[in-house]
Amino acid sequence: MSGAVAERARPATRKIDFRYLDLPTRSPACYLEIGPPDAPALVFLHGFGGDLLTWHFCLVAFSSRFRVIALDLPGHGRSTMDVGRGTLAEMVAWIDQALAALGIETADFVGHSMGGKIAIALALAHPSRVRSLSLISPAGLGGPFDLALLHRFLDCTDQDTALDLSARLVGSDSPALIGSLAKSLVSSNGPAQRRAFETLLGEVAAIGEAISDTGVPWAQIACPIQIAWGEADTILPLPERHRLPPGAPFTPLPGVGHLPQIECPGVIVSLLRRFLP
Amino acid sequence: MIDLVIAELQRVLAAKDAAPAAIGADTVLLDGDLPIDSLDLATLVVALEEETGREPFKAGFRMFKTVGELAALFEAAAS
Repeated sequence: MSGAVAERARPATRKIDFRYLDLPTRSPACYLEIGPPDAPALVFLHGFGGDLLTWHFCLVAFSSRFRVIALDLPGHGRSTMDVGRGTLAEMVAWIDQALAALGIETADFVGHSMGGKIAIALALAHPSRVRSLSLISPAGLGGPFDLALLHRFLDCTDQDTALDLSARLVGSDSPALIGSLAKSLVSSNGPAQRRAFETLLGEVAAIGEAISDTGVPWAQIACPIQIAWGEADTILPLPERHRLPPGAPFTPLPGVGHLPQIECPGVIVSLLRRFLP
Repeated sequence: MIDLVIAELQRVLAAKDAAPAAIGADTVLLDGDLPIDSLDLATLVVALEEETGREPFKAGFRMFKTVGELAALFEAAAS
């Protein structure tokens, strides 16, 4: 049977691989694309210190109905290490350029941590770009966050530091993830990335702190919003209720730390499937 | 179904100019002897979805390690 299948004529499945966009400023942008090119776009934005592969358990689940895009943000993964001054406005402008280069007018966005904050800021600056927001442990809502731990990413060059950091990233239900996470932390930390992280941490506005003095002006965002959050997250702990968008679905995730898309990808996929059009 | 998984996996290997491998139900997909990474695996899953019309990961990711386990997930998924 295998021979018959191999010989049958059908269009070759497009190899899923890293692709690169030339942008007017701070090029390139690295991304993954899965799914029909003419389907509605679904864009995934990772958090500080991560890259597009943090989503890899989630992407395929949407490949039949969406043009799924996962981007490496500036300073991360295989995209440019030039983060400019590292401001939120620059990140938003960069995403806007990347969407234009991809020919995407509007998309559903899934953002984790810093990527969630950037998605919120994109929805505020370019409302027509954002059809919906699914925010996973998003930064930018205000309240405490562990900036000291993020600084430790800079010096994560040995296995012991990486193991300790990894143990703090995930909840108590996911001890099996710590080893592989630590391996990726050590291997990803070159000098150019260190400079990018330093800039981003120096400009905390891009990563932590509230989007404004009063938190996020949710009333200015008209699109549907949902939020999921690990109850065991010690980096960006569960926010107080008043910081959340009024009336938006909120799903606390018991036993889950700061990486729900890796710790419980099945739950995240289910939440997205129920929420997305 | 297992034959289909093996055929698609050989396509993935051929697309990256890797030598055809001896593949069976117990062959480990990632971190085993095959020269494939997680993106190759995603390519394989999407190809199998297109070929079978089945989506075993529709309700969320399910863990699998071997060719046989992946075939079983597609076998069990309703078309």
